[in-house]
Amino acid sequence: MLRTAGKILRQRRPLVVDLAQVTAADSMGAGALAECHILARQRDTSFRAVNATGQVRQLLDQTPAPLAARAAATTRGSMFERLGTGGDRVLQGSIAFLQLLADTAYWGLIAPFRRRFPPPGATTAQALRIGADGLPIVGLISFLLGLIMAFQAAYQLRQFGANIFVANLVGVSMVRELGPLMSAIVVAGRSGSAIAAELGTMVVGEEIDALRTMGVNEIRFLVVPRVFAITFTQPSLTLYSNAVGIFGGFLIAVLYLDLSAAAYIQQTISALSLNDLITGLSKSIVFAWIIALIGCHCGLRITGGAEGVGRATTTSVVASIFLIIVADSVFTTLSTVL
Amino acid sequence: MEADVIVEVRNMTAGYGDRVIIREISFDVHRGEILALIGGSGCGKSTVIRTLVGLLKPMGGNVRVFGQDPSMLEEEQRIPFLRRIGMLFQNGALLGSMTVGDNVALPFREHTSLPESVVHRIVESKLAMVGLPDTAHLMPSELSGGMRKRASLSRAMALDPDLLLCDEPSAGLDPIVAAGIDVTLRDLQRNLGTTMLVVTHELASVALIADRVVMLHEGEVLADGTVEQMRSSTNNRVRNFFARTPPTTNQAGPSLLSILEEEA
Repeated sequence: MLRTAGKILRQRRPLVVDLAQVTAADSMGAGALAECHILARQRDTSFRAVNATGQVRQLLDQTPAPLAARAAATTRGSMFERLGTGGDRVLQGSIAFLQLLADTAYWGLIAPFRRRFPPPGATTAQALRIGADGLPIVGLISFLLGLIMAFQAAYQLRQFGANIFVANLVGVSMVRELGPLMSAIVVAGRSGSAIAAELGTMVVGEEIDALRTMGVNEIRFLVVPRVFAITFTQPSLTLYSNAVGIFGGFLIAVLYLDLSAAAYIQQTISALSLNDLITGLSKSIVFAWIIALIGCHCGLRITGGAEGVGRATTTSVVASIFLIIVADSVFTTLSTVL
Repeated sequence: MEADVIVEVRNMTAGYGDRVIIREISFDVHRGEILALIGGSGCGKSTVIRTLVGLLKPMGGNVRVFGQDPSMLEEEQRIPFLRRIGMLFQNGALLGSMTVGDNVALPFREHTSLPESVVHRIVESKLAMVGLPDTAHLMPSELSGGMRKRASLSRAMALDPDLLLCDEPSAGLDPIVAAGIDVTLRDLQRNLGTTMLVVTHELASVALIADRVVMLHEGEVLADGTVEQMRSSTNNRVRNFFARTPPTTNQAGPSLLSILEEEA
C-alpha cells in the first residue's frame, strides 16, 4: 500500500484513502499513513485518510501528528559547512593532543622531581601487558617475515650467484626497517586499541571523573605508566623481532639455499653496523610514544556510550598505524638525505 | 571556625557546549545538614553537582565551596580542597581494574603516607561501616548494584570529608536496599556531622533523610524549603511532584487522525 501510495504522491497527484473497511490497525499502519502525509506535503499535494472507525479511529486519535519540521531537519549542511565542521573537529583534536603531550611530559618528567610519582607497580603491570604478552605474536610474525624475505631475496639473487647476500638483505632490512615497523604495527593493534578501549570505558563509567574528584590526576595515574612501560617494552620487542626475523632468514638460507651456517652468521655480522641498530631502536621509541599517546588521546576524548568506545578503538588503531608510517618515512628520508 | 554556609551558589548558569542546562540558580547548603536536590529527570541536577567539584566550569554566576571557587583552584590548592569533599557517583564509578579494597585505599595511598598495614586496617573498617565486611578482595564487577554503591560510598567517605555529594544514591535499587543506603547516609551525618548534598528523585528517600529540599525544574530553582513546606506549597508543580500526580496529558499538539481527515 505504501509503495502504490508513494508512486501516486510522487507524481504530485492528490490521494484519498478510505479506511471504512479496515477493522484493525497497529502502530506500523499509523506510521505508513503518517509517512504518506509527509511525502504529500513535500510534493505539494494532499493525502487524506477518511472514514476510520472503531479501533483504527482510536489508534489514529492517540498517535501524535508527525512534526512538520521533520523534512527540513533531515537535510544535510552544504559541502562547505561540512568541510568547516570537519576541519574544526580536526583542529580541536590536534590541540587536545598537544595538550595531552604537554601534560604527559610534565607528569612524566618534571613532577617526579616534586615528589609526585606515578602509582607504584602500575608501570610494571602495563609493561607486562604491552610487552611480555605481545612476545608470541611479534615473534611469529617476525619469523614468517624473515622466511618470506629470504625466499624473495634468494629468488632474485640466485640469478647472479649471489645467494650469500640474502644475509645482508634480511639482516639490514629487519634491523633498520621491518623489525621496528612490524612490531609497532602489531603493538598498535594489540595494545594501542586496548589502551583506547580501557580509558574510553573508564570515561563512560565516570571513573575518570571519580579520579579527579579524589584529587588524582588521570594523566599521572593512567597515561604516564602506559607511556613509561611502552618506552621500555617497544625497543625490547624490536630487538626480539630483529633476532627472530634474522633467525627465520637463517633457516631458509641453511636448509633451502644450502649456505653454510657459519658463513651466513659471519655475513650478517659484517653487514650490520651499530648505526643500523641505533636507527632502528630510536624509531621504535618514537613509534611507542605514538601508539601510547594516540591510544590515550582517543580513549580520553570519547563521546557517547559503547558505540563511542568502538569508534575510539578503531580511530586509535588507524591513526597510530598511519602516524607510524608517516614517522617512518620521515626517518628514512632524513637518514638518506643527511 | 568557618562560616556556616558550606556551599554557596549564586546566579549560576551551566551547561555543555552551547547547551544551557542550568539557568541562574541560587541556593546554599549549611553546615551539618542534608540537602536534597530534587527534580524530574534531565533537569540538570547532576550538572549542579559537577560544578561543585570543579568537573564542570559554570558559564556564569558564582560558586563557592568552603569559600573557594572550585573552577579557579591552583594545582596546589586543589588537592586539599578535594580532600574535604567526597563524591558518590550514580553508578558507583569504582575503578574496574582494581579490587574493592584497593578502590577504598586509593585516597589513602594517594594523599597520605600511612603504612600499608594501617591502610588495610582502615579499609576494612570503612567497608564494615557501610555493611560490606570481607569484600576487599573482590573486583567491582563481582558486586551487585547495591553493594557497588555502598563500596563507592565507603570510598567517598574514606578521608572523612566535610562535604559529601551524592548523585542518585538509591536510583535503580530495590526499596529495601535503597532504604538501607538512606539510613547509612543518615547515620553518617548524625555520627560524623558530614554535610551532604543528595541529588535524587526518590520521594521516599527525600522524606527519610532530607533536612531541606531544593527543587529544580527546567534548569531553575522552583522551591526551597523543608519537606513539610513542599507538601503544602502553593505551586502546583511542587505539590504534584510530592503527591506523584501524573501529567494530565501525554500528548502535545494535534493527533494524526485530525490532520489526516482535515486536510482538503
